[in-house]
This record gives sequence, structure tokens and C-alpha cells, in this order.
Amino acid sequence: MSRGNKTGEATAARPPHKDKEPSLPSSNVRTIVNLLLFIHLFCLAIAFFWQTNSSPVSVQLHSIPAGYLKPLHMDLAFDDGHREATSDAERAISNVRHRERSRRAMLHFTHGGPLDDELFIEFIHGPEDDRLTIVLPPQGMLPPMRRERFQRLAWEIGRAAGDSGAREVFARVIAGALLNRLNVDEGELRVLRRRTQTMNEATANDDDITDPFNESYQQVLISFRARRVGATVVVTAIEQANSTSGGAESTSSNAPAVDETAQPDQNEPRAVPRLGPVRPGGGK
Amino acid sequence: MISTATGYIRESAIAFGEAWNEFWLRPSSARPLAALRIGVGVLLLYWFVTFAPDLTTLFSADGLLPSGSVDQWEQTGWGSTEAQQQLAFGDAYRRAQATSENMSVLALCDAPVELWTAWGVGVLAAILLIAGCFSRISAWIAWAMFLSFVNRAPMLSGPFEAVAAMLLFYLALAPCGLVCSFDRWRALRKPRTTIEAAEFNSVCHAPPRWSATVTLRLIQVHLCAIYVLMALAQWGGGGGETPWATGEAIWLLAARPSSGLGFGWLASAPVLVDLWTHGMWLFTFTFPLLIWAKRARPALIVLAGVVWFAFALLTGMYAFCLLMTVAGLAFWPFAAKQTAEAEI
Repeated sequence: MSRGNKTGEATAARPPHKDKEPSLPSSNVRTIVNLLLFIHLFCLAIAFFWQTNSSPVSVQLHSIPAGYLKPLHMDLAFDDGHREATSDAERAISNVRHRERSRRAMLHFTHGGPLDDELFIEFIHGPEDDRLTIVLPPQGMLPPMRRERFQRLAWEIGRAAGDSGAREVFARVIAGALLNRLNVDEGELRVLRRRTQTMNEATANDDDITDPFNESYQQVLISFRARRVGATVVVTAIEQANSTSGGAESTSSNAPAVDETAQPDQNEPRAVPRLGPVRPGGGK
Repeated sequence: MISTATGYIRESAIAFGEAWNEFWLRPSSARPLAALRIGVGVLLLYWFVTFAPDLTTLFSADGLLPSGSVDQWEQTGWGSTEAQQQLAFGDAYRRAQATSENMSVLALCDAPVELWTAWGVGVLAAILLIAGCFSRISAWIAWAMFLSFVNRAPMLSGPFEAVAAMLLFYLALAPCGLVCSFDRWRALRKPRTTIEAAEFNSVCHAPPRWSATVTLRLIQVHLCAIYVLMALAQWGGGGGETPWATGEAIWLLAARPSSGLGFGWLASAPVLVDLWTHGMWLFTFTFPLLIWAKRARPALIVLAGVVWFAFALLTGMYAFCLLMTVAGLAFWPFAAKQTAEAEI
């Protein structure tokens, strides 16, 4: 397979076609490969570059390659897939798009909104004088990949804080699993946000303020009481802090004040087997 | 006049076709693919291993996400009623009902023994992929098992899974075990029916392949698209000024309590936070543009390593940052023997 003298060819005219031809695949193979390449790149281009458009046309257009890209996990929203809608119609469109793009690459890392803070799940159960608390993910969970998974689970539920239907579904799934797993009849499921400190708070002279785990940084996003009735799980909303479902709130330095009435129980928690270590309500 | 225009169009079309074929199909070395195979394989193995402690907690019948719950989860709307969505979108809405679980082997696994079997297959495939042992088959199995786990619970996936899915798909298509692999070592031990040039008589060298070029180009183009969209997502999301524009993003990431490695001191260095934020965004935005300049490639790939290493320490997203560094190897000019192994 002669490849010719490259340096000589560089200054001369274009090399004869015959010298190159053997190194490329046959014409038929080239045709097939180029066709497949074109289809694949076209699908990717639609999925990638119609990220922000929320018109009905874009929804229809996006649905064309979704069947191909979704199983490949390439049909992704590159941020959190969460954008503000200004009208009911736009909101409805946006909701469909979110459902198609239920997969999120989260490559924005942070937009400074409430949902970009750390979220975690608490499940409190047991009699009043002997409450047990499970925290997911527990503080210090290793390796980091495990912690990220549970944080994303909490994020997914916390994102539904403004939607009574969705948060009930999520609460029923998670609370039901925990009730079954712990073999208890009732408990309280919470999703909490741990607000990120501002620079001023991190450099303050007060230890309570500089401690990022201080409970004053916590906000209850979702709180449900779950109980087992026969074979089904019934969940009842207890309270809910300010909705975060808009996803476009101010940066954390301007984040809403923590709802002081929504603090978690102060009762000392205990370890529960198979669901990781436990710490007191995310506090110190 | 018309003949001139026709001639110009014909020549342009021919030139474009030749350039396209040169770009996508000119045979090149498979060594970058070998580097990617090993790097991605190691990270995939780590990814599977991190599932081990939570496998039954998450996916068993009495786990947090039992089979069937993900369908229910994905079909739950956000904020508007079912009737509103049906009314507004008709077919598009109904197509959106397609859910993930039917695209996962794990949808068939509820019992712990079944889950552990599926997990074991994934781990084994990752190990074989690293070694380059039956690399064609192991790459396909590793990719399929990875997607099975991702599709079983897509809400648990994030940046790592987005990039890994892309790399594994292209590696499954590529001759990734052509060099630096057990397959290559085994092939060299067999009596050969074809005569290979002396310079290819080693584990780390093989004749150039057009299939290596296609898959490497796909990885390169896809990676650049990810960088561009990462930059756009950082800059424009949320409908207002993002912390990437205001220079606060690095602080917001460093101040997350579980980020871990003591970057709290950044609070007293706001200028550094600002510079780091804008530098990170600038790198993200310029990488996909400058990486096509061959002279800039080695420097950019090293710079990418530094940037992602620092970002890993800051955020604790070690696996993702390492994966981005590994993905950059698709651009590394590996071909040492220019006359024999073309680089792209």
C-alpha cells in the first residue's frame, strides 16, 4: 500500500487520485457510512440546538430523533432543563419538553438558584419520644459518586415542590419504599435544601454563621406524612416552604430567608441498618 | 456565464466531497482509541463499583425505585394538568409518554440475585474492555449494561453519565482493541496469513484504519458540541444573569458543604473567585474552537487536564472531571511513526 512521499506532495499539485483511493474504503462503503453519519449528526444537531426553543414546532421537531437518541442517553437537556414560563401555554409546552428531556446533563453546574444548593432527604419515624431519622445522602458518604446519586434523587423530588400532583407521586414512591424497608407503619418524609453560604457568611466571626451545616441554612421544601393503610401508602402534605419550582430565583446571596417554622426535629436520630449512617437532621 | 457557474458549483461539490472523505474516512492510527478504551474502561469500572453498596437499596422490589416506579415518575407532569397537555400537544404529548424502563435489562431484574448478576456482567465487561480482551464484544456489552443502569433510573444520572454514554457508544463502534490490547497480543502470537510491515509487529502499533478515523472524528465533534453547550448552559440558563456571568459560580460550587476539600478560604479572595469563574467559562467556550488547530492541541489537552483537576478538587466531581480529561485524548497526536500511522 503505497502512501507516497508526503513532503514531496505538499509542495506539488494535488496528488493523483489513484494514490489516495486504496487507502479510503470502497465507494459503496463510503456511501453507506456517509449516509449513517449524516443521519446521526442530523439527529444530534436537532437534539443539541433546540434546547431553549419552546415553540410547538420545536416540540414536534424534537420528537423526531428522540426515539433514536433517548435509548442512547444522548437526548439531554444540558442544564437542569428548567426554564421560566411566562404564560400557561408556554408552561404547558415547557412541561412536555421537560418530560421528553427527563434526562439532564446538568452541565451548567450551578445557576445560583435554590435548586442548585445541596438537597437531601430525611425520613423520620418512630414514637415521639424515640424518633429515628434517616438522611439520604448521609454527610460524608463516600465515594462521591454515591452521594451525587442520592443528591440527584433529592433534587428530583425537591424540584416538584411547587407541583402538588408530582410531589405526591414522588413522596408515595420514596416513602412507600422506606416504610416497607424499615417495616414501620408511618413516618415523615422531608426534602430539605441546605442553602449555600455567601462569602460574607463564610468569613463572619460567628461560629454558628460560618458553619455551613448550621440548621439555620436549612429549608424544608417538601414534607409529607406517610402511613400504610393495608397494602397502600397514603401520603399527606404537612407543610411546604416557598416554591422553588421556578428554578430562576436569585443567586444564593439573595436567596429567600430560611423558614424558621420549618426546622427539622431536634430529636437525636439512630442508625438504621442498610440505609447508611445517620446524622441529626443535617445539623452539627 | 451559466457554464461558469455550473463549473464552479461542480468543482466546489467535488472539493467538498473530497474534504469530507478526508476528514471522516482517511485511515488513521487506532492508538487514541486504545487510550480512550483504557481510560473510559477504568472509570466505567469505578462507576459500576460505586453502585454496589446501593444496588438493592435502589433497584430491588422493596427498594427506593422499584421497577414500575420510574415509569410512574417520568409520566408525572410538572405544574399543568393532564388535560391541558393533551389539548395542547396531541401526538407530541403521547410520544412523550415513552418511558425508560423498557430500554433497560434491569427492568427485568427485581430479585437481588438478578440485580447482582446484571451488575456482575457490567463489571466483567468493563474489566475486559480495559484489558482489550474480546474488545468488540466487551465494548458492546459494557455499553449495553451501562445504558441499562442509566435507563433504569435516569433521574440518578448527571454529567458523568452524559459524557460516558457518548464515549462508550463510539467505542463500541470503533476498533478500540486494535492496539495496546490483549486481542493484539494474541493476534501477534498467531501465525499470520498476511504480511504486515515490520513497524506494525508490536502490541502498540497496527495499520491505520478508516473505521478508527470515523469513530475518533465522531468523538471529537460530539465532545466539542458538549463543550459548546456546556458554555451556553452556563452563560444563558435561568433567563437572567447567571453566576457564570457575574463571577460567583466558583464560589457557589466551592461553598457547597459536601464539596469537601476546604476551599472556604476562597471567601476571602473574591478576585480569585471572579478570575477562576471567568477563566473556566472562557476555557469551556474556546476549547472546541482552538482544539482544531493542531499546534494548539497538546497545550490545550494539558490545559484541560489542569482545569478539570482543579474543578474536581473544588466540586468533588472527580469521576466526571477525569472523564472529560480522558475524552480530550481523542485529540492527542499519538502517531509516532508518521510514515506509517497517520494522525488526525
